[in-house]
Amino acid sequence: MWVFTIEAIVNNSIFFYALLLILICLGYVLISSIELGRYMRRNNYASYRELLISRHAPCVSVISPVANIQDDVVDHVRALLALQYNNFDIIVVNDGSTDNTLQNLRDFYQLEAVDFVSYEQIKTQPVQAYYKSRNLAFSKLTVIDKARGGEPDSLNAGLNASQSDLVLCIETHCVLDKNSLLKLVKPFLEEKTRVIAVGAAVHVANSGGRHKGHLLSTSFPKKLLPAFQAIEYFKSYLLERLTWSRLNGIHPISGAVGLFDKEILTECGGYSTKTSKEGFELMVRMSKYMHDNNLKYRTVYIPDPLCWIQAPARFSALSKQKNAWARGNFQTFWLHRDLFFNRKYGSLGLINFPFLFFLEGIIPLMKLLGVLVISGLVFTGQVNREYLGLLLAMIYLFAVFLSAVSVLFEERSYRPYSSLRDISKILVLIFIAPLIYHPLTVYWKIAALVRLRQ
Amino acid sequence: MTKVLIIEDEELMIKALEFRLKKDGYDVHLARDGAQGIEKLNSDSFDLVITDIMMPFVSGLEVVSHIKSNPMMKETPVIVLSSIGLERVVMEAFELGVDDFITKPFNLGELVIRVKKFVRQKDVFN
Amino acid sequence: MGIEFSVSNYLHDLYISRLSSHPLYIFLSLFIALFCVIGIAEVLIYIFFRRGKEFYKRKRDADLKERIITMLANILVFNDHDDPKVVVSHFLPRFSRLPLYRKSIRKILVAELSNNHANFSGRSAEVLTELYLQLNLDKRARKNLNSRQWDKQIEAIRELTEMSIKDECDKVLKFTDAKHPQLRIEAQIAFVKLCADNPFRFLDTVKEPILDWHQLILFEVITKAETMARPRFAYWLNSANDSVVSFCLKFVEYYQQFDALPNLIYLLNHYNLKIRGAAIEILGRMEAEMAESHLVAVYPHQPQKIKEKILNTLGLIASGGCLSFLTSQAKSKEFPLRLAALRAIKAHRKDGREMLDTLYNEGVLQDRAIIKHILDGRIKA
Repeated sequence: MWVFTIEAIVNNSIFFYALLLILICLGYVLISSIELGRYMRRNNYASYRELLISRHAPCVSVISPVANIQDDVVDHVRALLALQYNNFDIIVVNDGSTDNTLQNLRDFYQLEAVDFVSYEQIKTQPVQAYYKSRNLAFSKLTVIDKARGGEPDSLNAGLNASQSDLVLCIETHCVLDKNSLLKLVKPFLEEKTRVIAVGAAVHVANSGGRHKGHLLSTSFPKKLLPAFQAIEYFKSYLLERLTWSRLNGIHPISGAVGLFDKEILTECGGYSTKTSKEGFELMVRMSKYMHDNNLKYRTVYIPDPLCWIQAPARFSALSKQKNAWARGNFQTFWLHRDLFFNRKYGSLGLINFPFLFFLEGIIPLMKLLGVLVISGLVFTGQVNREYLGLLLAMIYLFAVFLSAVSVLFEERSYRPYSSLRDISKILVLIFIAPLIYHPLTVYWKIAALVRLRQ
Repeated sequence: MTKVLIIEDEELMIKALEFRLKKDGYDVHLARDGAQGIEKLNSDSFDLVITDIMMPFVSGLEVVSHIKSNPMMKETPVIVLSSIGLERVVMEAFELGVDDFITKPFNLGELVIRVKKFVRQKDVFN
Repeated sequence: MGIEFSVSNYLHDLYISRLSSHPLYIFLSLFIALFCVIGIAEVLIYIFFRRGKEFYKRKRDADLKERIITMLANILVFNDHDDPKVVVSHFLPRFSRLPLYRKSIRKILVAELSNNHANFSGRSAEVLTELYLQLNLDKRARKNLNSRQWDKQIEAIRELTEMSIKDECDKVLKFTDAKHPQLRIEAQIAFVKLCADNPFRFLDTVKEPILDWHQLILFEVITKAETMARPRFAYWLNSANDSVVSFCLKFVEYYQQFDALPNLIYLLNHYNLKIRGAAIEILGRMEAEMAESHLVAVYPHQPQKIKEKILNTLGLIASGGCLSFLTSQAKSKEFPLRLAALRAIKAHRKDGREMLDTLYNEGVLQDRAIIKHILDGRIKA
């Protein structure tokens, strides 16, 4: 009798816990499908030609930190110069490169040091020099050479030098779609309330053909780890981000690309150099700032695939990245712990933030706990193997189903990987991912949590 | 025969220009983006270049600066064909040494006349 | 064979024979699992079915598209002197041979037609419109105007506007007041494009804000239209709808309507900072010397962003009358104001240059750096 009860309690709790997760995910599916449908229907008719040629297109600074990429840097900047937009400048921040990155830039773009004064609103590592080109064809370009301080510090240096109202911050290894600026600027002009940040979908492009900093073709990654990440990105961008954008909330990780209202961004202190994943923390801080000042705001996410990144292909590199992200998330939760259930911050404090903490922080622990309890029971033989197997099968099938839905969303919208071979590969991989990749993601989160305590 | 290079990424536009200029007896060469354009310019010599500004890989402005900073082809007239007709952009182009600036939408006949004008000037010059 | 048999047997056993004896959680799990399996299967079938269909269609349409582009490019070659009707009737038989009864082909042709129409003006555009009409491609669009689905209506409005078919103008006017925002803006665009004699009628009645995005699009459309009546935009500058005010400000500047200057000065006290800022900027770009004293007068009570704008504007006007005021602001505690004031002084050409030299000689280190910065021609921002 005793044995039976333990088993029933364990199985029941596993089931209801799984049911809760399933309901949350179905909520994501429902809301994001509505939002995706709305966005696609609306933007089917959007024409960007007027914005492209308009004298009222707001001025945007594209800030790109570079460090030790001597072979790619010239093409990287060239691709930025060829963006489709009529009112933008490019601020490249050389973050203390030890190779020829700066020299290559100087040679190709005919740069000369200028006496540039920037309004240092955010403290950064010392800037050694500002460069402009003497060739008029590159008049959009400013290069800042500064002491090493990491990506967030470089972005801040770029922010100080920018004269525009909007800034586009991108990661170094990100290849932008040529229409990125047009598409990202649109939400700023289109909402009735003030928009403080716009993000877009990021996809993995490890196996695409590249040419001069542009992506020629996008094909699904050939290696297993990047492939798993590509599928994970589908889910995180199309399901989760879209849902939170619809609910006007913040989302767990902010992408490699974001267009910000510079005034708000600098007012609340720019990128943080203290946390290890700066995007999420920044979104939280900006939202908090808006609440503190009683300003109405919106953060928008658009599902267009505008940014293509190189995903880590080696296990060690991926672990490091995931660890850093998870650590950054936990640091953010800790740093902004005053948000939790704080009525002053409305739904952000009452629902959004605690909910994300639940998803990011509690759930991996519960999963770990579940695995420990189950293996304990199996070990001591106190379990009905059939029922346990059925429960696990149900959870597995739901995970596959969820991936399948996110693939379906991609199929109905932008199709980042369009060939038949790629889609077949994806559809095979979604059956394997829950068995190999999902446990790893849980492991990374827990590892980060453990490390955080040390 | 007068050799004209057209650098433009819109398929329709490039075809229409090609047919039209061929009809008037020009030797027309095509490049579909700025990088291709620079390659062609380096391997061959042209009497006139027509280029768009916003193109993949290499912007039209860079192509213009490539032409105008190279003593071998400095004299080649360049006509810019752009959908952006803002004063800021036009001025930037002329400062770079562009010889003519045409905003889309434009009249094909007018373009042909402008091309003729440059070719005539060049003949007189030689 | 044996395994298959036992799997189906097991499932039968699980889902049917023993169904009532499961505990609740297993019962529910079984149903969730079933739901997921069906869902996954549906997704897979849907994706492959759709891909297959598309593959077949693409293959069919690819060379037709190539053919259409070539045909259109050919028709554009004959355009300067010939009558569009003659040109079109010459080419019509070839176009009629296209399988136009197929929706996808019609779509390609219409897309290419309107795309070309946007890129060319004059005779080429007329030829394309003529071709569009003679192929009877307009019938569908006219019918769709009365559709109940807003996306179909938009498509129809767009198509007719792009091909400049003007006789449906009245129907379009009806939609400029539509409930649906997308349909409304499309109709406004179309109306402004098609009805060149009184395109601003809708501004009197519009209640909803015209979003910045819509303003931008309408502005491009209006200023690109060749034969457009230009009303006095000052008339709408005291509209209660703020978005109408900022919309009209753009035109005051673009058409340099100097009779609006008193209204602009009046707007310096507008409660909406965006409008106040825009009015200040426009005074600068219209080089309104008469506004200088007003700008200096309102200056002390403004937030910093507006102060910066006033300084910029004084630089654009550059009458010389405000040099001493600008010099005083060049010593402001706020960096942006100092920068803006020094830039404005620089804009005074020779006088400004002299003033900058004096300031440079008496200035502290940072002021010198700013002056060097603004005098450097390579730094545009």
